[in-house]
Amino acid sequence: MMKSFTITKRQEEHITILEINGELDAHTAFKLEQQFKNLIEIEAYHIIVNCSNLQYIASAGLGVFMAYIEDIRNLGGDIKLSDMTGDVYHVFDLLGFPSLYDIHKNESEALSSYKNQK
Amino acid sequence: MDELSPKDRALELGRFEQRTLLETGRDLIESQDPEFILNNLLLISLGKLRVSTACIIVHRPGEDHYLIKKGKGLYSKLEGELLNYEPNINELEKGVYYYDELPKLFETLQLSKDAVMFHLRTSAHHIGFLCIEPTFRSETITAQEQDFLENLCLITSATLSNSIMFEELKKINRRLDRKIYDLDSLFELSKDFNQMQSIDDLSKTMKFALLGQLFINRFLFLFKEGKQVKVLVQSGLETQTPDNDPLVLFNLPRVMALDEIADFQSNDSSKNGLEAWISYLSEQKIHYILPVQSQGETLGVIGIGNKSTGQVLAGDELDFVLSLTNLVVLNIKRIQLLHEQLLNQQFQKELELARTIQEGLIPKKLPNIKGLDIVAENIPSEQIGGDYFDLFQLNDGSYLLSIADVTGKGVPAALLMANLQAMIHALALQDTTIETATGTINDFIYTNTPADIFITFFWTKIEANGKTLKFVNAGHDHPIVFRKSEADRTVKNSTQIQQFELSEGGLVLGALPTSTPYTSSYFTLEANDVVIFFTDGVTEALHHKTKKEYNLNRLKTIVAVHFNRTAKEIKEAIISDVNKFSNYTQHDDLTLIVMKKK
Repeated sequence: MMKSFTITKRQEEHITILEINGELDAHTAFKLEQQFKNLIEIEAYHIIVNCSNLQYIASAGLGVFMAYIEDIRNLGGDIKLSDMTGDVYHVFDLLGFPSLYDIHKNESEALSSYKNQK
Repeated sequence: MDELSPKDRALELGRFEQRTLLETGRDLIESQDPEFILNNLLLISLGKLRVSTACIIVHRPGEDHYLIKKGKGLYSKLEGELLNYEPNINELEKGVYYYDELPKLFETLQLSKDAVMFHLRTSAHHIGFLCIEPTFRSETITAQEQDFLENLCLITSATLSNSIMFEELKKINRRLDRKIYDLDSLFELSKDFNQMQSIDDLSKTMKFALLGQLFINRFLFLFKEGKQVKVLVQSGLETQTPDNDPLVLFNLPRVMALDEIADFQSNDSSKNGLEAWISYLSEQKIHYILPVQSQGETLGVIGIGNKSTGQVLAGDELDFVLSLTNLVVLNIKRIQLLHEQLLNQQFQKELELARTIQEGLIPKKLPNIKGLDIVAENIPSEQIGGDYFDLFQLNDGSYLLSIADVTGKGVPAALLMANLQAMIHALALQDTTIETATGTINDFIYTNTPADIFITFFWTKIEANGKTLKFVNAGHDHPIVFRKSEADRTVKNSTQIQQFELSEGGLVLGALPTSTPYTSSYFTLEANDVVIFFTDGVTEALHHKTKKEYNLNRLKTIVAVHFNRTAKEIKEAIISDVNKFSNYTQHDDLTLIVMKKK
């Protein structure tokens, strides 16, 4: 059975906000991959992934972030993460992601970190 | 968030890894899609190792290379590329490889010296490698991470191997399906072709079949008839074919790509012609030449280009083209045979008509003439020549005997013969001499027939007493009178036969207008005289082996030998001798009249 996983996209000036909902695992990872590919295609390199409704993340899901972070940073952008629940952050932390990613408590913090860069 | 103690952290990480392996195991059981399996393996590796660049390369047994099957980061753009590298599979025993162990392969993939390759294998097969480029992370890959990935690769490999095999099977199945479809189409086409009566329809259907089945919109089909080759149908070619004889293309032994042919014949006399054709065909974007053979002879050649989609034709597709063209060639031959048969039938009907006309013109029964023993024989040849003879009584009690040979054969000759007969009978009623009448006939034939049509003609008026002949010979083989000479009557058992030829007259009928009148002459028969009237079917009968002509001397000899016999016996002796000579092969009509004075 297909796990439920959806993405909602919002735009805040030049910043694209992806709200990811549900479970991100081997079966749903392709949806997020596709989303990242599309954003690179339209040159929207400034991305915030809002994880407030992300219930579960498996290692394949973490892999999706890894697969695009280098490309996007080389293109002058970033993938920032925000609003993680405790369980999800735990996994990120467990695998050592906080040292690689810009992780924020909430979306507005992430937004302002982009704006301060400018 | 609470900080975990290092010990707890390690424990939790272990649990997370276990869970990942379990989930992967479950996913693998559920999925046969290599795409999914490979993607999952890559994503988990990236997530677990915190790297952003990795790829999976798959070994292609039998071909000296690896295929970049799936890639992330830098390698996502290289998916589908081939790496020229042939591993020594028997020596690949480890689960993990570093730069020092497979430097060539690392370099071919442009991996850094810190990269790691995880072996994808089953107990029996080497599948390939999961290649990890760790440059994104600062620290080296730990032993624990490596263990985890080795385990992940291990559980993935079996399913991967199965699913790759499954994909292969699917491909083979698809090919099989396509083959069956092709065969079905060929079967349908062959049924259609069989119904067709014109080569034009065949060509059209061939064009549609090539376009519909294989999207081929560029081709040229040459067909050989006798020694002549012509373009039967083509599509998409823009300019005229070269002047050189396309027969050179019929010497190719098998299906060949255009560039192959150039190397094929290098020191042949037909080299220039072949080169001209190759350069023309390559200009017209024709890529393959397929010779089509029937009973060991190349009857057709088809040159084809790529599909309209730009794709090159695969082997199976070339096979289809070959089979299709073969069908077309066979059906062209069938239609040609049919036409020949029809023509033949028509010809036969004409001949029957000619035979009927001729039979109607020649008298079935000869009149009895006082003092004369007359027999006649007319044997028409297969194709009906223009022999004619006639004998009938005139109003004054005398008889008119005619013999003629019209040039040509078949219906035209028979019709002219009918004309001649009508004129003879019409003129016989008139109060005119045969020499004047001959001139009249000549002028009529001359005016009403083409220049190459003429008639050799002899006729004679036989007095009612059967003694005096008045004759005109218009270019006909001279009738001959045989007479036992006076001198010899005194010497017993010695036969000296005198011969008189009835030659007086003029030119053949129909060659020139009558400027100088025809002349007639008289001949008076004595008892036991034998006269033979004949056409060239007798003297020009061909020997069945030497092809020499029967000739006049032989005819004279046979008459002399049988001189004392009856007219009927002499006639039969001549015909049997001619038949023996020609072995019953008759090229022309044969007419023979034998007359014996009682």
